[in-house]
Amino acid sequence: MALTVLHRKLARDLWRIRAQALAIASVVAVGVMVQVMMSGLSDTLTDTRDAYFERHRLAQIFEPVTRAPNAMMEKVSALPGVLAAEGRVSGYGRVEGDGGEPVRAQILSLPGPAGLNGILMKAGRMPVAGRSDEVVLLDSFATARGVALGDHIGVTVEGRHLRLRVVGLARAPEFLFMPAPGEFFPLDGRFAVIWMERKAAAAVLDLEGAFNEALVLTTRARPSEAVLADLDRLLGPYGGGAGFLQDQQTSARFINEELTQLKRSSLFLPPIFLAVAAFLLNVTITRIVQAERREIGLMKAFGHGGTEIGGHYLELAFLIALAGAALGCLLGLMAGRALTGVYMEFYKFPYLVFSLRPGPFASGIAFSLIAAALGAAIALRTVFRLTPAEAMSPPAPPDFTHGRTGILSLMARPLDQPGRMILRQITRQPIRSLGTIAGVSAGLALNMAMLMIYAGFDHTMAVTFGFADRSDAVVAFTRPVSRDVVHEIAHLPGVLSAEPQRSVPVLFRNGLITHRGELTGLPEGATLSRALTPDLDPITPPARGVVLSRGLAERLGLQPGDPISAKVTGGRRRDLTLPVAAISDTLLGAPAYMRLDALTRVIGEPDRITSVAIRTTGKPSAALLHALRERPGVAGVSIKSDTFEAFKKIADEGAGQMRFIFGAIAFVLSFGIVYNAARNAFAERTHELASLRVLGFTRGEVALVLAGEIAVMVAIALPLGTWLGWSLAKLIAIAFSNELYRISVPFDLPSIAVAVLVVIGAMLASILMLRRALDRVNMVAALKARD
Amino acid sequence: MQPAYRTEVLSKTYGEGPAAVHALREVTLEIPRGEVVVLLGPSGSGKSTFLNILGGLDRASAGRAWFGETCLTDLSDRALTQYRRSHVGFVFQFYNLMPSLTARENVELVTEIARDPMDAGEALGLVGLEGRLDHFPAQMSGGEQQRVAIARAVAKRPEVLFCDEPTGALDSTTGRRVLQVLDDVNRELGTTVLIVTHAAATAAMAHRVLHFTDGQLRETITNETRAAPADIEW
Ligand SMILES: Nc1ncnc2c1ncn2[C@@H]1O[C@H](COP(=O)(O)OP(=O)(O)O)[C@@H](O)[C@H]1O
Ligand SMILES: [Mg+2]
Repeated sequence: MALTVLHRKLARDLWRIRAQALAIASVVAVGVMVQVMMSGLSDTLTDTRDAYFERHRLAQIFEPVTRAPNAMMEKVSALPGVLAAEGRVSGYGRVEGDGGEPVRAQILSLPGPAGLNGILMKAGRMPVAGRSDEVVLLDSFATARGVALGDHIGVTVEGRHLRLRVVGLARAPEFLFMPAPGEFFPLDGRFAVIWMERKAAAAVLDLEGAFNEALVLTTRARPSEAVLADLDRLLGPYGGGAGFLQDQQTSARFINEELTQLKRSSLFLPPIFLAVAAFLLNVTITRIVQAERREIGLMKAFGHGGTEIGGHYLELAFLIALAGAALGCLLGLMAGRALTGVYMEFYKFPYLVFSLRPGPFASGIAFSLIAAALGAAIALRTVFRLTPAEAMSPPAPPDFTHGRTGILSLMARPLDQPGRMILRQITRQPIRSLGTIAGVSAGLALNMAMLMIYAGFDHTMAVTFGFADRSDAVVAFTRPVSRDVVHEIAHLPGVLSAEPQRSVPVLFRNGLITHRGELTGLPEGATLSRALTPDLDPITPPARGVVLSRGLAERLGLQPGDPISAKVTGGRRRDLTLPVAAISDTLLGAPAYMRLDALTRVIGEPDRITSVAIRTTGKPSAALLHALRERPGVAGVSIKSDTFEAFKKIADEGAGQMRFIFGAIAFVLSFGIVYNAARNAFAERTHELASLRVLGFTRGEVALVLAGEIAVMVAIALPLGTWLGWSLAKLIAIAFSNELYRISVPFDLPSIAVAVLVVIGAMLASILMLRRALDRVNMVAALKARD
Repeated sequence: MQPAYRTEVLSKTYGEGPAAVHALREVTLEIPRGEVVVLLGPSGSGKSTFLNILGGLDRASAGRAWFGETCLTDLSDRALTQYRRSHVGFVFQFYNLMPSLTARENVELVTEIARDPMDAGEALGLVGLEGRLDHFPAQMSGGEQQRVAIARAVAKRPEVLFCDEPTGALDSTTGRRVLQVLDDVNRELGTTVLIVTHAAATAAMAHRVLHFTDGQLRETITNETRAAPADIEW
């Protein structure tokens, strides 16, 4: 019986504080949403990656060689710790397109009987045995270039023109994220992968009876590093020795980075929201308990135990938290699904099923309940302490005596009485006021930091495309050519200037850390592609030594003056040890620069270059592209504006959604806190505010007393939150920077302005809602009620 | 001389239909200036309702009420606020002080917005609290808090002081002290004082006593001789 009455009271209480309950539930919801969304995404990507890699047997070790007889594979298979091994042939060619720019292609032999580095057919079929003109094409390339099943494509490999029929379209775990060689950003239409029958591929690449890449799956019995060392030794005489593990494979490396980032954000974001929710519940329940002390006394007098009554208020907190958590699960699911689409497009997963592991949901709900319990428990200590008699006597006026001393009273001196009321009200419950200020600051900081990160992307693009790389296109060659080519290209139609570049694939090593990358040679006084200092001044690589991008230097743990070891993995194999001359602030990619003449000298190929950067009048013309297509050695042309647009599209789509999500989150957080604070202040002081009306204060003046209190706290929170946001932005920038991009956060005033406006908007919305409540207050009734 | 207040068939109804409560039924009367008027009657007889309407805290359902030349029942919300601000003061059973302000500041709350106020110290002197200017409500007894409330009400030199059960929460000695203060205010400042009470003995200090029953004015008594508040027994 008593239980049902208490439950009815619970329902009425909830209804009475519905607006506040909603505000608190929203904060909980946002926390759970972020948790579910981020963990869900992270789980989805992890599950999909693991399944995809495993099902298609992505090799754990990749060992490129120049040429090894097929018989060597038996020795590879016999190495201890090798579960399965396969040799394949791999090479580069050029797709003769539809009159546009020449496009690079990787030619690969189809997976052999061991099925390593398998492919997933999306359409069509495998080439028929013996039909050397039938090929399988990477489906994202086909889509981007409008190639359909049954179409013929012209491909030039080693100077030979082939006419190939596309019989299948496929994806592969190796090519989830696939920038063309030497580029940092994947563009679907700029890089083709063509799988051919082993025999046909070997014939085309002059590798009959041989392989030039060994793929290995290892057993658990031996660490992969040990197997790799054996393999390096075994295949060393065949141009091997620069093998690498799966985590250094371009595509796997980026997807791993992405996962690490997601895990990080799913760890640090939700606790902020749940802490705020706990605080809000605490303040609100404290307020309700205080207002209901007489009812509590009565209930105690009637014989209800403290636990029973405490449980009643705890249920209130739980209901609010549960409602928020349920909403959060739903929103998280929706947001996660939406973002899955973005990832799906960026990474070429064949499928992404948004993972519905119970973990994130359960922990989201559990943590919100814990937050609610914590928030309520502190408020409820008073319930257990009150004796019925104490509870039923009206409370003494709150004591403001302490407010007479201290700095704040000095500050209050020149104020008018309403001003003093505002200040004293804020300082009387310093913990609560600080909590409100901290919460609002957190909301502001979060939003501002995220906005700054996205401004950082824009900054990255502006720096990369405006300062570091000022070329309009880069012409890549299939193999090193004489530096004289620069002059020929400079005279092609529409070319304003041309600069030689040399890139050498290397395996960097410092102690145990390795990194698969490239050494890039730039000419002295380069104007098109440059290394930059943080102030965007060009760094000229010295006659000796390497200029490392900051990302690479950090990854390898190197500083200027340290030696870096680089094993050349393409062309003539050599082991180089070079001094680190300087660190450059490259934001996209993780390049390592040398002076062109120095680089070509140390690798023993003086004045041989691999690409030419050009500056053109406007976008490279059809005539220019035609002229470049006609040149036999040209492997491909990458047009900068295409890269820029693709990058911008990703930034705008992915980041645009995230920007919106975080803006909304910040609004909910700020509004939840500010509205809750205002509502509590209002509920506690309806009486005082009515008194002011009786004394002849106008509605506006009374509203000002309430608004003033909120405004003062928000005013304190604004600079605090801005400072916090700036620090947070720098932290996130470090946490989110990876080898694909480094985020450098500019002190971006528009970001600050937007974040501040969101908070002020939330404040104004709260005040407006309260103003309506204030107008409805009946003075006489308010004064009659002694709370 | 023109009366302070005049009412004509003033009525107040709460609610509608069969559940309607007629708190005031067609009350017509005049209250002369400068008098101490005591409103007596059982609980629920409409005294507070009547006081609240004259004080501009509530609106009548029918009939009219004048403050001097001003028709209160016609005033807008804004004008009523101005009326409360400039012309009348209130004292309630539960003091209604701002807990966050000291005694002096509570009085200054009003003097800051009034046209020709007295000094806050002077007002507190009038109620015998010159020694407690800087005390917060939490540091004062009920009687002292009520006297701060009176000082706050009279500091703007109102023409009328409304007191709804001003002694209701006080013991008899303290209550007498408070009544004495109200009498002083009436005598020294010429303020019209309306006191609602259910303690019949208080009637002895009034110039005029209004008896309310069931929302109606039953009887008006004019005292030939008035007792000093100190001599009132209850
Ligand atoms: N806000 C209200 N809503 C409904 N009825 C009310 C309200 N205020 C007063 N009343 C009713 O009006 C009548 C007169 O009340 P009131 O003027 O407060 O009486 P008194 O002050 O003489 O005790 C009572 O019956 C009371 O219940
Ligand atoms: Mg009454």
